[in-house]
Amino acid sequence: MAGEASRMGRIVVSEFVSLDGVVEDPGGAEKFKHGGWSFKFRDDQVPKYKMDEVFAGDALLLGRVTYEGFAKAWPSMKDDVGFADKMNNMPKHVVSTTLKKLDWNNSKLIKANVAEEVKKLKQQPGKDILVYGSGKLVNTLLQHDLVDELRLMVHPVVLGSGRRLFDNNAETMKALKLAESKTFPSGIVLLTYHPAK
Amino acid sequence: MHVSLDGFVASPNGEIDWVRFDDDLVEDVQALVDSADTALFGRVTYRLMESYWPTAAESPTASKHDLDHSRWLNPAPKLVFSTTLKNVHWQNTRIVKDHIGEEIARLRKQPGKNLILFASPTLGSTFMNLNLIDEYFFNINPIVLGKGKPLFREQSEMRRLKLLESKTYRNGVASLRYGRGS
Repeated sequence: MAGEASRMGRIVVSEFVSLDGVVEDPGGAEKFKHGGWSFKFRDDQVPKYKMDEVFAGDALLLGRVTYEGFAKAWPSMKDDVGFADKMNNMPKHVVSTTLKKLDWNNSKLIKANVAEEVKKLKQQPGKDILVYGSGKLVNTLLQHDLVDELRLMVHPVVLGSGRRLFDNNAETMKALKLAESKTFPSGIVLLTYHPAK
Repeated sequence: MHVSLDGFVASPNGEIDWVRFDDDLVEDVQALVDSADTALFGRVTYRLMESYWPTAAESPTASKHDLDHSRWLNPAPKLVFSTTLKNVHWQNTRIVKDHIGEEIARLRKQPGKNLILFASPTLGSTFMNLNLIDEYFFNINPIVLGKGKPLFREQSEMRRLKLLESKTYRNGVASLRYGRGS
């Protein structure tokens, strides 16, 4: 099939989110009061799902806050399945107006014209361009209709405080289309959305 | 509760015209309502409901849902939790000013069906903090509103829940039901 090689990059946003919409520090690298909250809900299917997800991608697109947390945590990580290697080796596109230099392997800065730059990334043939966390960036991408798939892993917890995914999206309503829903043994519900049109 | 993807239960001015209904969803909501015999409201939601439901069934354009829900809601005992409300104009309605926990504990001991709390995000947060909620139903609509009235207020404690059921509807609503966490 010619399809795979010539496919344009898709922007896939994948989020760990609490029932109250909080996305802050699910992994515990950012000093949030409930940091690491997602680890309370792991089961054997979640790692497999995340594994398939990361290997369906060939680049990361991250905002500054998430990038800084990842850049601190991932370089020293190692596992038997190649997950950490994949995270560390894959190209990272980092959106920030303040960062000067990027220490994490294979990272490139996007300083301005975010929508334009992301459009260019999408036009290159490739696999999924994965967005994790990066709340502010996700809002920008949604407003510019640049998100091809939004995956929300809704955890069965109300955190009560913390940065929310859609905090900064105060522009207009955006209707999406529910593409899929999947329940994990831990009570996490994965809701997958596509653009409405 | 009908809620947007970004966790709002209403647009900034209280509009809920984005909430999606279809026959299957209406049927399930009706079954949920039928499992209860008492309605609980916060002040804001109560005011909205009071201005609509007492006469909703009399309108020539009343839908089947209007008729069914009127038949249940109008005669049902209704409790409004408010420290400021002075008068209510809807049959079988009582104002509860304080001692919420005691009031609910008393109602629980009486034989009967469930108590159902409609919308009312402020009251919902109060109930959650008082650990009064046994089950939560969220109908997650496939829309990002951007701004509006949030379902969850800031809470001091984190609260784990237990997923009891998830279901999706053809109109894109994902319905999630939770119970008390372990």
